[in-house]
Amino acid sequence: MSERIALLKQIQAVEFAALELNLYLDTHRDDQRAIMEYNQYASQLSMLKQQFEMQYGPLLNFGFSPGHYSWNWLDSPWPWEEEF
Amino acid sequence: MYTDYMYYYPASTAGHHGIYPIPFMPPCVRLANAYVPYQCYTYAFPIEEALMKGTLFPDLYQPYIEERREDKKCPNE
Amino acid sequence: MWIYEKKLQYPIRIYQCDIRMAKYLLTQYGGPDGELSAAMRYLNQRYAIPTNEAKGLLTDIGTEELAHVEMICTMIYQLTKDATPQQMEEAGLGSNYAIRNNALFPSDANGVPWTAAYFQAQGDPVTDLHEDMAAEQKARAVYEHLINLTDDPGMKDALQYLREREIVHFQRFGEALRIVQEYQESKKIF
Repeated sequence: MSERIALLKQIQAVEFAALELNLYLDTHRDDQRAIMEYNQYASQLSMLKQQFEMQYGPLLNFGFSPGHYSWNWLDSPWPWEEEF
Repeated sequence: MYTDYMYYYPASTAGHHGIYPIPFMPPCVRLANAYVPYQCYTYAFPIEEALMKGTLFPDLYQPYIEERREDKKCPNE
Repeated sequence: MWIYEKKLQYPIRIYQCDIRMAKYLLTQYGGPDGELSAAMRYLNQRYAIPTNEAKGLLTDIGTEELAHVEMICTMIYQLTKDATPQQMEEAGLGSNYAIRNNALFPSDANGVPWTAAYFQAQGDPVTDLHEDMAAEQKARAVYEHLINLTDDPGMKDALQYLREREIVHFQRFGEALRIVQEYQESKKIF
């Protein structure tokens, strides 16, 4: 398994935890412990994404991720071409 | 289990905090209303396991187990 | 405002080249109980529904359903991208191939195109949340049928994941319903 795929899977796992806590918090807005955990995952996610983007190109567009020459946002693989 | 009084929470002019905390099941329920139990978060799966299973919460993990069915036989065979 | 992240929510890996499944998976793309219907339903209902909890939840779950649309489309795309016309025909996708080669298009497993008639917005929060809960149950049941139809372990994993997400969404909509019920009760107190 390539390093790129391993890092991508790590990002998927952390982002999923943040998403689950996000949905939970939408109906449990006063759960402080959940908010703290969400923030921990959010900062871990930010670090992992920076690491991924430096080596393999941006994950987000519209100004949310830095772009590199020559606009590697366009580079393969696109998500539906990914082989895990 | 359920008491007779109509209103669970005191009247409150405070914004959203007026309805919290919400109990697991409401103490007074009405006919022709549906109630889903309110999740109480205790434990979480490790995150790699959570991604594979589809949820962070063991309480919500309800996997599908296929049943082995015999091929249907026609009645007069 | 929507931002797109260039990665799948879940690592999909298909082991077998079972092109028949591409036809059946279409129902979760453009069918009545599919991810596109779910996304459109929730993202549309969120404008007029009362309580911030419901607005937030419909926005967030609606966005997640768009990610699931991408997952279903990825599975269909990977199954059909290198298929020959003969293989498409044998898999029951001959008519699809005739119309559009290997391009995707939102329809159900029988080719009936997607329509906004697959969802509703009644404007009554209790009604709309019950529709959302029913939609999650319908999707869960369809995923069970799809799991029964395939032997590919990778595809089973992805379908189990999507089925479990429906269960979690049902729980969240149920909690939103409880909040709306409490909110409506509290409005009666002066």
